[in-house]
Amino acid sequence: MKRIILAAALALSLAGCAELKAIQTGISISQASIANPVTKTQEGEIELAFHSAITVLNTYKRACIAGTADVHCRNNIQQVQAYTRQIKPLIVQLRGFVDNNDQVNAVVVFNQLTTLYTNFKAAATALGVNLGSAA
Amino acid sequence: MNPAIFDLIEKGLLLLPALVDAGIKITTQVEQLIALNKAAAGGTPITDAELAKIRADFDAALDDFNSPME
Repeated sequence: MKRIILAAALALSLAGCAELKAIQTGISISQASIANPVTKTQEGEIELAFHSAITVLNTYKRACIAGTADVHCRNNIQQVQAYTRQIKPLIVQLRGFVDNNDQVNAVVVFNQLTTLYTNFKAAATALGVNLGSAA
Repeated sequence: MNPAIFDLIEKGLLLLPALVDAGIKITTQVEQLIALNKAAAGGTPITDAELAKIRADFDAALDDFNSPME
């Protein structure tokens, strides 16, 4: 049992190192503009940032279903889903605009997504689910 | 010792595999982010295949989380 706990602690600390490294590398999701257009790389970055946060939330959701999370978990998840369900249609629009190099609309949707990302991380944190600070 | 502590320890141990799995996945995503960032700084844009994989992986995770609670 001690070995399992040590292995788990090691894995978690490695994940923490990667997160710290990302912060040190200076990765951040910034606002786009016509002067700072949305590239395919930036789209990939925002999708990876959302994916990291969703990974944590999926772990919380599974723990909730298994009965190993806190007593408020169902309500917490439903509150966060109010934000995460807004992501899909925006991401679909962003992908279309980036693929067609429609920068005017891509910038608008990209900035809506970065605002949504900030808001949903704040909402999750307020409910006691820390989504990290890598992006 | 309060017997409730054993229940908490049991719950914590049951959570460990899920936390390890999440930690590994996040590490992978953060490493992808770093690689993308470095490649872009070096003038190498993301390939269509890389972007397609990022999109598909994210879609799967998002659909999973957005599905109703069982």
